[in-house]
Amino acid sequence: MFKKFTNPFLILSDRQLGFLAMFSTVLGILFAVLFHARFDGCLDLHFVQTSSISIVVLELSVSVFLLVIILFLVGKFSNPKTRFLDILLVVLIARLPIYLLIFKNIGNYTFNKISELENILLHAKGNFSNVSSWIEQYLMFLLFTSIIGLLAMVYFFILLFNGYQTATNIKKTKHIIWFIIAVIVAEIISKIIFYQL
Amino acid sequence: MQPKLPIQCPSCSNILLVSKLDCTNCLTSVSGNFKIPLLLQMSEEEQVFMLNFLLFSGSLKEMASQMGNSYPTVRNKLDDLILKVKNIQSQNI
Repeated sequence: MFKKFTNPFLILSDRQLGFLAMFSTVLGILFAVLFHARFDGCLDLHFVQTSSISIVVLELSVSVFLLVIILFLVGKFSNPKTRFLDILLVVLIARLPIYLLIFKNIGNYTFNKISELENILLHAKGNFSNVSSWIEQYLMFLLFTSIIGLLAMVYFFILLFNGYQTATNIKKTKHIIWFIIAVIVAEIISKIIFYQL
Repeated sequence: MQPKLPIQCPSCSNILLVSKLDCTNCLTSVSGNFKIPLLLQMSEEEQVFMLNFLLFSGSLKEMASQMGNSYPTVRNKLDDLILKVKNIQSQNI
């Protein structure tokens, strides 16, 4: 049962993984539009005042395909039998924890809280003694939001790595290092692309 | 309970040789030094896998569906098995 959550790619058929990937992606787009989120990076999620479906789909497409292409190339280099479909399904399904994080912004809650905190800190102009009592009430919010975010990212990486390992059958440490470098490179390139856009 | 054919020496882990075979019908015994065939040097799970591969005419997709595993998992098992067979073949030369 535990294995189904940490590595569904071992057990589920291509068709089942395909349904899960489509379901996960549609859910992600829907939540992002409803709760004003942006996928401005392969591993990124940020909240904004408003969002449109076209921007969400564009950003998601760039984020996903960049990571898929880079991981596929590295995977193919590690094991020539690596299939593009397997890597695509892995990336799409691994993003599910990121999509669940969007719930943090129901009613623009997180965006408003962070905006308020930013305003307080900006108005403090370096003198934090007056605002320390204000900041304290945000500490619990920041702590909670950080822990949730961290857990989601950990689960994302567990799914991504387990899926990649199943798709490529890598066993050597150097292949694992290439995987880590590939993810970092994909993130850097995605940030450059989004910065240009 | 069906006893399993031991393949490795429990003392030094070297591959065992068959030195005696008996006929249960006429009680004839045959002695010699016979190597265990390559296929029997695989684990039971691996032998079942190879048998299934044969029975499904080499269709990994069908094997995955029957075994309740994903296609990449079955393909990975096959690749690992191929590597193991090649290693045993090179050791036997």
